[in-house]
Formats: sequence, structure tokens, C-alpha cells
Amino acid sequence: MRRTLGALVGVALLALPLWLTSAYHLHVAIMAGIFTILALSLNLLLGYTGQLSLGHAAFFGIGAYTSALLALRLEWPFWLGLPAAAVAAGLAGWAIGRLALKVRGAYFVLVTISFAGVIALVSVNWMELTNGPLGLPGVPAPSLAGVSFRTKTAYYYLVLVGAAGAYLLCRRLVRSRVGRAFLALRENEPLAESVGIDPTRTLVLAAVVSAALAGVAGSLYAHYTRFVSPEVFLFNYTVTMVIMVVAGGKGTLAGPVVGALVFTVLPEALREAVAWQWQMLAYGVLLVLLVFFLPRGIVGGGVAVGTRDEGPPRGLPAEGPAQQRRADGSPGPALQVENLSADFGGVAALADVSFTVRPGTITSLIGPNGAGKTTAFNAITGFLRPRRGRVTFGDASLLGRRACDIAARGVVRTFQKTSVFPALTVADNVMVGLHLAGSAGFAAIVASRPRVWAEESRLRAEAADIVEFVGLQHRRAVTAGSLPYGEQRLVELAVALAARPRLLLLDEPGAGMTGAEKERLVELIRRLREQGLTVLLVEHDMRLVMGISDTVIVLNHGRVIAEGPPATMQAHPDVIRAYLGGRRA
Amino acid sequence: MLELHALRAAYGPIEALRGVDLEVRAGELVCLLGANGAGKSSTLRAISGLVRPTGGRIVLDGRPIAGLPPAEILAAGIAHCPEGRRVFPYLTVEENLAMGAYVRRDRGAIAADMDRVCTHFPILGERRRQPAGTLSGGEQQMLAIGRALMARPRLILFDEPSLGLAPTVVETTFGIIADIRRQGTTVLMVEQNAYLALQMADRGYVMENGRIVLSGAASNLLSDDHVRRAYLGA
Amino acid sequence: MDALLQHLVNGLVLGGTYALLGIGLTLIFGLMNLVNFAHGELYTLGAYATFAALALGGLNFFAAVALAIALGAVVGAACERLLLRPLRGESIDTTMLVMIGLWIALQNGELLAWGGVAKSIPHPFPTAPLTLGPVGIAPLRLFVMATALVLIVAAWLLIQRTRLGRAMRATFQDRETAALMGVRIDRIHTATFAFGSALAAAAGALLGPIFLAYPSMGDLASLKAFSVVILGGLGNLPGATLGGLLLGIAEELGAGYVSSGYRDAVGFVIIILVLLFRPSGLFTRAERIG
Repeated sequence: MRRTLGALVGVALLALPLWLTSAYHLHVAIMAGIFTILALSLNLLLGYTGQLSLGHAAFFGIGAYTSALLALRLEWPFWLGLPAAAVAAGLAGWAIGRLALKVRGAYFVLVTISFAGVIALVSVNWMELTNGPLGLPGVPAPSLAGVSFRTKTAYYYLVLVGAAGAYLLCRRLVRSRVGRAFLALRENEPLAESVGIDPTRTLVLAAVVSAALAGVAGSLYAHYTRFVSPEVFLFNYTVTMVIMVVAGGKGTLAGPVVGALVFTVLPEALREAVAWQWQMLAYGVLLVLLVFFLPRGIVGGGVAVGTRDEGPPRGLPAEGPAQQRRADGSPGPALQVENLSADFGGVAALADVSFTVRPGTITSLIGPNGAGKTTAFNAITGFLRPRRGRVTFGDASLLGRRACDIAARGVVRTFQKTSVFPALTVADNVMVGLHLAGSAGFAAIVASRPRVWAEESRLRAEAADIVEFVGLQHRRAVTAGSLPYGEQRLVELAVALAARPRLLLLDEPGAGMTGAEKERLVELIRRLREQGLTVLLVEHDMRLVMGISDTVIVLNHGRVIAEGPPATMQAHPDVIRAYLGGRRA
Repeated sequence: MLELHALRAAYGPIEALRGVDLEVRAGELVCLLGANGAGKSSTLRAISGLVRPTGGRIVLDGRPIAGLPPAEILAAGIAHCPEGRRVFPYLTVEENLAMGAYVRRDRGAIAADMDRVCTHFPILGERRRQPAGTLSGGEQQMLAIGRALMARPRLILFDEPSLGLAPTVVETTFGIIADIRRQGTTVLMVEQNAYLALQMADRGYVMENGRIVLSGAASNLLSDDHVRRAYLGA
Repeated sequence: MDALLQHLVNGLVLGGTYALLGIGLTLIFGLMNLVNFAHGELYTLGAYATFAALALGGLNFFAAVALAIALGAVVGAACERLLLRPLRGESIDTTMLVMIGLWIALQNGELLAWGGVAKSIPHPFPTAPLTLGPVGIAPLRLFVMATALVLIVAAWLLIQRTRLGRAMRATFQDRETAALMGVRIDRIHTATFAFGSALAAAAGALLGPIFLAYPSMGDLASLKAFSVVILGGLGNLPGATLGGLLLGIAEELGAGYVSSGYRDAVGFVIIILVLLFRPSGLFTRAERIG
């Protein structure tokens, strides 16, 4: 059904110049195409990684100027100028991406605005290069084998190819493991890190691709209007792009396309009736109204990632994900923590903590409120930088490494507050967890190599197994955010398991669960141990802890006060004193 | 004085209180015990208006107060000394105390109360103009208590006053609380340190999974092994 | 040397108004965690309101400025109540988009109302500069600097010495405990937004007569306000004041000794550099509102 629709649209687009014979209409179509590319590019950042760039006009302008200057000054043909524009804009995108390492959200927006501001000022003031406010006239139209693309019809087809290419690229990217990584960052960055996604590299990639696409649009624009001036950096363009993406539907593929079409055609259609100032005013009001009433935009969908039907659940018994992992079935190495000291909130939360977690066991870390348990987790898994100490997993030292690197070494954690990717389905949540199990890179994905799709199938099958293991197969196509609390925690566990841990750290996995849910959880953890997984957990439910643990380590005031089997701990005077206080003599 | 009937409360999808019944009579010191995550703090927060109950009733001297905003709860005579002290770090000691009296309008009396608090806790008097964040843990606890007193409450809710404090400081703090109670203010105290709390209290309740599982006179609970089991899951 | 002093004086005049813009924004951004992209529009509003009061209402200059400031407060309060409060729990993207929409709408509204030609705002001061030693300063600029100073001091006093100011600082430092003390967080938000907007309008009313009023004047003002906030650290009132003064001086020196074309780039560059190297601001050791 979708295919026939797509084919129809394709044919209609190809045949457009046949029934839109007026040059003016073709002009509108060409501009719509260029803006489609721009909107798609902005959508990658805004819709998928969730970072708003208000400086996108800078990438557009850099692309336009690069292409124009290369054609005018060095007489490069358009076919070289276009990729050069993409590269130049991509480099700028790289710079912005690197800056984004340090800042997110509002600060990122400011950086992008500032960047655009600086570039705009440069284009106005650097007369020798850009001819300043006078601009660069006479940019040549592209030509191929002697045929010039001067006519509107010809250029329309050029832009159509460009737009189709951009759409295809975005589509492939978004449905791949890279696209999932983008979404994961948007939805829940710490969780993404905990399964091995590198936020730096991912954001930079998004910024580079996004900028390069905008640069392509810029080049197309320059060779169409054949005149480039600092006007390309006008904030109006950025505003229009933002409206297109937001009104069309951010985070979808069709959204920006629809938005671009509507907001190119509409102003032209209204041009007779309404002055452009009123249009811009209307845009402003529209943006406000959209946010209130139509936050998902016209297209209104959520995340269009892998929502293809997976078919019926596989019939194999749920043996658990461990089977794919280790052929020899032996447990991983031991976790050694030595003299770990860390500060949190201005106090010494951990002081000289040392313990060992033996492989293939379930160890619990308990202690009264404020004892330092979660701080210990954070320090071990790279979410907190300790002051001192050693943490080794086998022969690898974990201290000072980034969270995503630690995850890559097989140490995976869950979080105290439920942590899922709310807008993704359960199956996609687990697919994110499988990020490190895949290796398809940007180039392979865009080229749509067969091995990429083979890998996707393999990962989907593995994800289905994991979902079945935790008992959520009947929910695999449901968005995680809409699940009841207990099931969300199971999703969380599934995501952690997908990251193929050799050591799993569970932070209060039973918190907020009902009795039945806790029993289920205990059952799952036991089965994991049977498969050779080492588990370290923090819990407050003593019955759960005492029932499931091989070893219990008790913390108080940031120090280890006791360690041993559960029964011993329950009767240990220091432990009793820590929890209940001292008795009168 | 204060009664909770079948109180329910939730944080989003998580049900923190699943039907809590308890009672605090005027002049008493009642302690609320239980392991972490049992719902003790949530109970206090429901009383003081930080969390809106989803079911059940809270009655103060016959007047229903469930779901009222904190300003009105304060006006009704209940002050809450929150977990972790939560002093305003960049406000001075004096300004912190002033915030305790935020809902009061009687400026003269407020000033007099502030002096009284500073006299009663000399350290606060000494550090009157210092930012609260520079005080030690024990001093901050004193400040938090003083701040709660500034509201001239009839009932004070203490949430884990011993948390993060050294043992000697804990003793001092509990001494202060005992004083407050002796002077006629009713106290409902959440503590994880069960034995210390029970030694001071008239009665106690033990919570687990959002419900009361044990209650009785403090002396009985002290000698009852149930408390230990409730905490350590024997 | 004389030229340097002259630049410094000019920089202080400018810087005083930047400080006003920055203080307002740092309060809003800091307290409400809101990226107020419409801040510059309140600045523009201040200028146009002064113009309207003078040209259409026939008020005297000082009353017009006062009216503009009051209008800023009212408009700010209205925006907060109508647009921001309903979106309270939403993500920061959503509020950003709303503020951007407001920005676009307000600016183009002004364009429609007043046209694109810049308006000159008449003022009662003589144009001949006063000479104070080696530097000359126009009486208007002296007035601007003095008024800015008065307003900055008033802002400090409000924050440090009043019950409302205390409540604002408490809310910034620990929102939940402030609520526990009975502070109505809603009202604090409205008051903060109104206050910040009033300061922005004041900056516009003061700078309008110097620089002319035109619809897009707020864009640069907005950016500069942000760069002052970033320089001084979020929620840091003294930082914003110092930052504003520094920015004004840096711009004047830059324009005088480097190039006037890139004058406005100073603000941009500051944003990028500070966020790159010291994201918490240059002055974060000072006491903050939070």
C-alpha cells in the first residue's frame, strides 16, 4: 500500500512540469524542493537528536557562497562545487557539533545563533572574499555534457533529484542503528550512554550530516538564483525552516517535506492578498498556536522508526540472551573495587570503599539512606568521577573512563528512576540496547549495502528474544512511555541485557513494584545468574535482597561495615546498629 | 490532633502510599519508621502539601486539609522540617529564618521570634549573617529546625533529622527535638534510626511498601523483634 | 589616552544598559529555566512605547520613559500568565519554540504598526556635550548612564532586601523547599518575568533616543543580553552587572581600535568562547541569586 502511494507520488512529481507550465509555478516548485532539503536537514538535528539549531541559515549560506565562489573565481563546474559546498558546510557542522559537547539545550541554541551571527558579519565585512553587501552576481548555471540547466524545467528536475536524494539519505539513516542512536540521545541521554552510545560522536555526526545537507541546498540555491548575497543569512530563512519542520511534524520523515511544501506554496498563494510582514506575523502566531495545539505537527505521527510489522513472535523457547553471547558459557571476570573515594553534593559520599564481586554471583549492596550506594554505582560505571581508588573488571581498569566506554567493556547499569526511551516502542528500546552489537556505519547505511540490512534482521531477531525473555512479547510494538510502571522497569532490564553485559548493575530494580512484579524480577535475575551473568544490585527491599543474594555488602556513611552471606548480615550487630540505631546500654 | 485515613499518594505512575492510617494526638511525639522506600517521607510530604494525595483523608482538629497548598498548611499550624535539611545555601541564616515565617504577616512578632531562635541556638546567633551553605551539617540542621519554628507551628514534621550527621551531633539534635516537644509542640518524626527514635517517642508506626504494618507504644516496639524484621527482612 | 578614556566612558553608558538587559534575562533564565528569545522584543517595545507616548500622547520625556517601563512589566506579566504558565511542565524545546514564535510575532507586529523606517525619539536634553576633564559626554548619555545605575541599584535592592526578592532567591536555590515555606511559585514566576521584562523595556526606552527605534533592534539586544548572562553566570546578578559593563566597554574598544563593522561580533564571540571554556560563567564565585 505504501509502495503504491510512493510510486504515485513519484510519478506525479516527475510529471509536474508537464502540467505546471507557467515559469512562476515552476519557480515555486523549485523553491519548495530546495526548502525540502533544508527542512530535512534541520529535522535531523531538531527532530531526531532533539537539539534546536537556530543557525542553520549559516550552513545554507556557507554552501551557497562556497559553490558560487568556486564557480566564479576558480571556474569549477557545478558538479564539483556542490560536493565542495557540502564539505564546507559539513566542516562548519563539525565545529558546531564539537561545541555541542559541552552544551546542550538552550546553550546549544545560543551557540548556533552566535555562530550564524559571526558568519553573517564576516560575509558582510570581508569584502575581498565575498564582495560584501553587494553580493556575487553572475553565478553560472550548471551544465552537463554541453546541456545547460538554465531553464526552469531542467532545474526543477535537478532539484527533484537533490530532494529525493536527501529524503532517501534521511530515510536510510533514520531507520538504521545510527538513527536509533540519534533518537536515544534525544529521549534519554544517560541511558543511551549506559548502553555504549557515544554522545559526542553521535551528535557530531548528526551535525555534520545536517549541515552538509543544508550546504547542498545552498549550492542549488546559488546556481538557481545565480546571485548570492549576505541575505542568505537572514534570520527569516531559519525561521521559515523551523516552522516547516515544527508545523510539518518534527521527528518524522514526511513532516519536513509536507512542511516545506505547505510553507513554500502558501506564502506564494497568499502573496497577492497579503503583504509579507503579515505573513511573518502569522508565522509567529502560528508557531505559538502549533506548540499549544498541534505539537506533533500536521503529519502528527510519532517516531517513524522501524514500525514495520515484525510478524508473529518467534516460537523458540525463551532461553535468554546469554546464549548468543558466549559459546563457552563461562562467567566473565570479577569486579574489583579498591579504596574508592568519591564526593557528591559537597560531602564525602564514599570513603575508602573496597569490595570484590565474584563472577557468576548475585551480590547486593545495601545500607541506610545516604550510605553511598548509588554513588558507588555512578563511580563504577563512569557517571561520576571519583576522587581516588581503583576499579578493575578483569584486567581492564574502569576508573576515569567514559560511561559509554565502560558499557563497551560489558559493565552495564540500570538507573534508580525508571529509565526507558519513552517515545520508542519496546522493541526499538531493546534495539537501542543492541547498539554495540551492530557495526553498520554511516557510509554503509547510506549506500544501503546488503550487509547492513542483514545485520538489522539479525538484531531484530535478537531483540525479539530478549523481549520474550522478560515477558513483554505482547507489548513489543507499544511505546515504552505508555506502559505501566512495572512493565517499564522490565523494558529497562531488557535494554540493559541487550547491551550484552558480563556484569549487570541494577539500581533499585524493585522500587515501586508490586509483590508479584518483584517475584517475577527475582525469577529473571536468578535465570540470568544461571546463564553466567554476574549481578550487583542495590535494593531496599530486604526480603528481596536476602532471598536472592549470594553475598551482601553493607555500606554506612560511605564505608563498608560488613560483608558476607545474607543470614549473617541480618544478625550482624553493626548492620543492625546502622539500620536501627544503637540500643540503650 | 492529626489523623490520616486510608491515605493514598503517587508520584506519577508509582504508588508511594497505599492506604496509610495513623494518628498523632496533641502533645505527643510519634515516630514513623521503616526501611527506605517504605513511604515515610511521602507521608510527611502529603501532610505538608508538597504532594497531592490521590485518595483518603487528612484531618487536623476535625478540619480536612488533604490537598491544600503548603501555605495553608503552614497557616493551619503544621511546619515541615524536610529531609536533608534543605536550607537555602546562599541566603544568610537570618534570611533562612525569615523564609520560615514567610506566610506570617506580623512583622514585629517575627523579629522577636527570630531573636528568640538565635538566643536559643547561640550558634545561629553567632552566624546570623553568614550564608547558610557555609554552616556545618549539624548547624544546618539547627537552622532547619529554627526555620520550622519560625512558623509558630503546633505540629512539627521532622524528616530524618539524623541523616548524614555524626553521632554526637545526632544526640544534640534529638535533644533539641525533645525540648521542643517538652515545650508543648506536637512532633511527628520520620527516622530510619529506629531505636533512637523509639527511645524518645510516645508511640511509633512502622511502614512497609506504602502501608502501616506495625504500630504501638514506643516501649513495646522497642522490645519487639518485629521492628528488626521489618527492617532487615529476617 | 584621551581617546581611550572617551571609549571607556562611552562603553560604560552602553554597558549600563546592557547590564539592565542582562540582569532581567539572568533572572528569567536562571529562575525559570527559560530561554527567553522574546527578551529583545521587550527592549524594542520600550523604545517604541517611549516614542508613542511622546509623539502621540504628548507626555514629557521622563513620564514617557516611566510609562514604557511600566508597560514592559505588564506585557511581561501577561506573557507569563497566558503563554508560559500553561506550558510549565513541558520540555525546554517547547518553551523555546513558543518564545521564538512570540519573538517573530511581536517583531513583525511592530513592523506593521510602525513601518520599517527607523524612528527618532525626541528628548529634552541639549546636544552639546559636557566636558568632564579629557572626556566629553552628551547630557543624554549621562542621563542614560545615571538612570541605568539607579535601576540597577533598585534591582539589587529588590532582590536583596524585600520579601519578594528573598522569595525569588529561595525559589531559585531550592524550589521545593521554597514551596514548602508557602511561597507561591506561580506568582514568583510571573513577578520575575514581569520584572525582567520591565528592565528590558527600560533599556530600550533609554537607548532608543540615542540609537533610533526600528523593529529589529531587539535582535541584537537579545543576543547581547544572552552573552551578558553567559559571561556572568546564570542567575548571577552581580555577574550580569559586571558582564554588561564589560561587554559595553569591549564593544566600544573593539569598534574604536579594531573595526566598527565587527562591533556586534564581540557579543557572539563571547558566547562561543565562554561556553567553550568556562560554561559556568566568569564570575561564578560571587554570590548569586542562586
